[in-house]
Amino acid sequence: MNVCFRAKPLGRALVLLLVLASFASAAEPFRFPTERELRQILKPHYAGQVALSPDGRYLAYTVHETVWLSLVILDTEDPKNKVTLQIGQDRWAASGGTIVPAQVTFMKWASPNRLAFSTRTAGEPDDLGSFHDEIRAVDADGGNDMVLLKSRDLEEAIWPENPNSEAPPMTVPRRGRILDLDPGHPDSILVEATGGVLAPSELFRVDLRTGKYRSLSAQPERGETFYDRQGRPRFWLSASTLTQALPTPPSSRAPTSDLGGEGDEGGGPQLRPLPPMPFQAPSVHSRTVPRRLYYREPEGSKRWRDFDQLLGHNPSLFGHASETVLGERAVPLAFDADPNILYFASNAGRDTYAIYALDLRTRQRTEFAVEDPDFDVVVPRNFFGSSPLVFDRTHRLVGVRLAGARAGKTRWLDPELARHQADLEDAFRDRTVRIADWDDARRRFLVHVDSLDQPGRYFIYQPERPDGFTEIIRRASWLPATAAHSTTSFAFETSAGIRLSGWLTLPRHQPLSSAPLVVYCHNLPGGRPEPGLNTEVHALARMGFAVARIHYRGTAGLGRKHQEAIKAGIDTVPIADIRAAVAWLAANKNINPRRVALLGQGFGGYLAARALQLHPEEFRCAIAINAPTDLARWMQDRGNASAPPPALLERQAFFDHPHTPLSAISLTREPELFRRPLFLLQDVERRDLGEAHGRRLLEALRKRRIEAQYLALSTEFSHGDPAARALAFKKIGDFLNEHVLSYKVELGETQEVQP
Amino acid sequence: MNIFRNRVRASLVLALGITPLLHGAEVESELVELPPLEIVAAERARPWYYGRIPDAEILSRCTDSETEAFIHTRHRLKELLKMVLPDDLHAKYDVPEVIILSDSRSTPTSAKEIISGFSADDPKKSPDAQRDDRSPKPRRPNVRILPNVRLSDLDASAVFAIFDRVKFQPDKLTLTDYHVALLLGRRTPELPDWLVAGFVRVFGDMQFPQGHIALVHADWISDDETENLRREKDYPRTLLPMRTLFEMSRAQIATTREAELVWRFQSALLVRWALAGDAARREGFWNLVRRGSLEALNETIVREHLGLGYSDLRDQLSDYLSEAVAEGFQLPVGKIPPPPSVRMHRATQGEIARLKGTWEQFAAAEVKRKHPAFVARYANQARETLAKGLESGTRDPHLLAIAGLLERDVGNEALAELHLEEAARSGVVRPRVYYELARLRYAKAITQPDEPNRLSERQFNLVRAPLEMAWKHEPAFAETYMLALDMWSHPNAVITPTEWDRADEALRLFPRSAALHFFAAKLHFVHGSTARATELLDRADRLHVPVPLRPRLQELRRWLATAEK
Repeated sequence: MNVCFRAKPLGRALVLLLVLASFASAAEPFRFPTERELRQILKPHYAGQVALSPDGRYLAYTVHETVWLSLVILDTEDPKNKVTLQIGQDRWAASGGTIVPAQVTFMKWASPNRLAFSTRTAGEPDDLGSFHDEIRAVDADGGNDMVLLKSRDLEEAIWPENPNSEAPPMTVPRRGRILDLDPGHPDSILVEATGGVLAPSELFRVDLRTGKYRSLSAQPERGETFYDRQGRPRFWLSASTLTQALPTPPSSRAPTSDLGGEGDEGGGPQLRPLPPMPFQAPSVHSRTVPRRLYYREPEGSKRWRDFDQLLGHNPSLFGHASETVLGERAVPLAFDADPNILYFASNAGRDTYAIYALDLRTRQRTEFAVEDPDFDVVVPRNFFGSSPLVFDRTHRLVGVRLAGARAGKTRWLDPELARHQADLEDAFRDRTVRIADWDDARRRFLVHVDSLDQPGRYFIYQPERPDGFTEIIRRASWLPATAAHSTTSFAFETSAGIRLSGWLTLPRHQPLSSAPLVVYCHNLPGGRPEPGLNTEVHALARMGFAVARIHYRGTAGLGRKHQEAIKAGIDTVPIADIRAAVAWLAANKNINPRRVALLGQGFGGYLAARALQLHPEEFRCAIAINAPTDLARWMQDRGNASAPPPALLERQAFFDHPHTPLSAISLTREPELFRRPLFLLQDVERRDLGEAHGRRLLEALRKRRIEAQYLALSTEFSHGDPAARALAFKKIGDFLNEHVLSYKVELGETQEVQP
Repeated sequence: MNIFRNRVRASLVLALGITPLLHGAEVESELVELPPLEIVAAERARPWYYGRIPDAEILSRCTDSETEAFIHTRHRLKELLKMVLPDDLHAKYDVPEVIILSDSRSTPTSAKEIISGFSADDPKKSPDAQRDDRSPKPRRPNVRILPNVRLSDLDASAVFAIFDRVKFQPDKLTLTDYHVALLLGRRTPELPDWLVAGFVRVFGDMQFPQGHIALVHADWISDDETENLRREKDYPRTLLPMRTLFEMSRAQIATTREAELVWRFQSALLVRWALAGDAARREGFWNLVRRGSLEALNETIVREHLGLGYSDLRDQLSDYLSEAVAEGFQLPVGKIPPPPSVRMHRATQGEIARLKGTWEQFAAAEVKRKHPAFVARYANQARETLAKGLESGTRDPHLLAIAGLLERDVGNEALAELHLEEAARSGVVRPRVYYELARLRYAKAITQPDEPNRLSERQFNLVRAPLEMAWKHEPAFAETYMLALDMWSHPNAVITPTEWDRADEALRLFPRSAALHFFAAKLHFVHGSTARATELLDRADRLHVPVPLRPRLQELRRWLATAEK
């Protein structure tokens, strides 16, 4: 490998001496982490999902270790009493090419002794789709563990559109999604079978004790359906694509929904018994079209009406098109217990997203408003996704989980919860405190406490007791508090008057007197400040690097103006911000501006490499993980089925502008501009990023004798497998060690690389 | 594990431990543990020898080499203690410690004599009446004499150790946690509660073999919890937020038994964590303790000294708990300075009377407090000892001081006053003498004021003078300040600026005394500063308020409310 080190031998010797001197002066000798240590750091944390029983006695949480997903139910009064159930396993997708991590998609106690939850894993051999969903329930002692519904139960038969056709119906998979407990039926849950672009949505009521289920309503058309708390379909978002390949269901077969809908109580799905057919995913993204949101009343008329027209919006606010992803828009979030009150997010007439309520009877906004002038209170990335609104067990809105730079915080509307939040924040200063759940009597609260440099712990908080703080789960006990690398926020104004903010992590131990810096570039679009510990940043800090995360323009969560500013130059704008931030950090923190590297994933990887390409004098090297190196080609990759439509829309909104010369700013366009080492890592099994991206750039660089490394990653890396990630980060560490720290540089002959 | 560790008030526990001296007593009868007392020495008992080292006076029946071994071990232990607890955090005494080393060959004999002669004193009945009493006799208490005991007064302490040369092993000698609690508890300015409770508990986990200090693994709030934490590193645990620990008083926290336990064990965990750290952490911790004795702690101060905010510190403690219950650690030991040389000589009658008398005065006070039925024997023995010392005709002020305090302790105040006045005139170094004298004079002034319903300047000065003497000596004790504040609270008291400073000093030295806050509040109220009085009462409310003080606090609050209207 060529060593791109231009210092004269004497200068290098001096550097070496200084480095050695700083080693000698360190209180604790610096040591590079081993792969095993990195595996620990990059391990997924415990308790991805948690739920406290209504009487506060039992705590259910999930643990993901190696390939196993487990459910743990803990007796909080006697934590020795604990049951652990294995409920899922990471598996290769049936179609190959990717590992599907097992996950719990919903978990809630239906009663003091009965827990409802749903899992999603890779599709099993007899599943039609690529996922296998199970709706399950279990008693607090681990008994009476029942699979109530699974993917096969939800499959739907799609009949040819032409009633005279003799073609057989096609069986398509549907995903099971628990909406919530059924407010009108104790021990029951509402489960939506969603067919996405393939089949219409259908709602079931499932009895958690008996496993019997009943269809409540089924939609006639494909699209997304939004239900109110009582389980009535109230909004319908038309499908995003038009495909000729897919038959649509005959309207005669579609029951218009009403609560007394059809379905055989306990008799299994109301599908016709059809032989399973080999399912082939059609090309669903052949053409995207604007989506419209339709509304109907809770009672009376079943007619769907265009919601924007109903409200007199022109242009559409609630519709969904790539042009409006970054513009003014509104997104329904949830219904109140009162079915005529809709909570929605909107940035209409303002820079940031706020949350409002609409009285659907008067079609007027109520006084309810949660706004922040500087930050998006909510970052709506997709319709009908997880809502930031917090409802109690009586379906009363009690709080809003904030997003953006305030992510992790909750604005409580319930004064008692607000008081407890204040008390908890006083008890856990410098931490982000989230009341995750509570018992009905409000004597026990499940509280998550973390920070930017701590992995988080769950507490049972009993406000009536002076000693009412029991640490019940350490989410990463293998990362002790002493291992934390201090992370603080920073903010400044650039010479161009741009207000920038970010987070700086300083290593606990560093090999040099002033810290070498890695700029960690997040992905775009959609990338935004994420609360909590970033394990990759932690791994880099463990290697002795300061790590800066800069909320450069284009970042979500900081208002429309900040996000849309990237349109002026999707490469130059964020890179200008990165350079300004590095200069500011060098002037204000103990950062060595001559030892700066860049690292990013996805479009962040592109930015890292692009910054190195454009400013080789400012950066020592760059690491680009799964980076699109040919942007024009990348935009053509968008038809890949693994790219979910919302992400596709966002990418279009960001990058696909007539005035953006994507090919001109691609990394492959002028590879000779690279004068510093570049490390390309690419998951070669990803379907939304062709392998050619990395390979082509590598070849171009090697042809010009420009130092570059390449590491082919497996899909395990993309899916967070700690061993795969540790291996990659060990290589990254070696690369950074060689090109940023340089303390292993031999003092012999050095081959200089000329641009 | 016994979560309420045995707080036997024995300072220097010899290998033989505490041996019940009465056998065959009724099992169900009340257990009475009494301090040792030598009434009559065994016939072949070795005579008393006297020696002096900088911080103690020794009276010993042991051989010089045995006494020296004892002194050397004591010195080593005290020096080792300084290595884990900086010397400036120890209480200071101007009165040297009294150490009595009795010989096991003579003392058991005398102890048996004591016990065999014991029966609960009944002052209402003559010995004959007691003999003729045919009524069912109350069950005879199960009396035992503790062989090795430390007793303390407000201004001094004394140790009585029975030395068994057969079983004596110097390396088995250890300091008790009671001794350490006293050392910390009497220090002024008062140390934070959490430090005292925490260090005492950690000290219980310390061993002092030659060459190092070893800490055995820690316990947590119950045997079950400890075992669970040992078995499972991530086992749930309850810890107080650090703000609660540092900024709230023990009284505010320990409103339930569970909370008190957590407070106590978490305090110990904090101390242990600090000791287990590097030199910088230990230094930072002790500086934090010093700050905590001078001012209310907050997160800024904690961060300044430990480099950690409350949340980080809590998390580190929580993580450390799993380690602490699983394993112990060793602390490095620095060079121990050479022990003091002690030259023993045959004790004079005066020396015997002074040291034995001091012990017997302490013992009588202790017995009066705990087993008043037995006090007469102790008091008489002390009087007898002191009388022998005074037989020579010299009015040794130390003996007079002891006699005065003895009579005060057993309730004979008239005689106490005579002795104390005489001792005080000679300037004896016993701060308590001056306090008691001031108290007696004050009580008399209250009941017999020179002027109708008010004290005269002469009476004020009569009380002031001995208090000023008491304040010249270490240790300071809150009682002197309470007395002064109460006296100054008389409406016609003229308070000098120095005395106002003294009032502030009281609160600075004893920031956790609710009684002092009450008296200071009263003082400010009487002299017109209702705002300051209210502030002090508010502070008192956050402290542990003894039950008898509560109505007085409420009454003062009512006065304040009336005055504000």
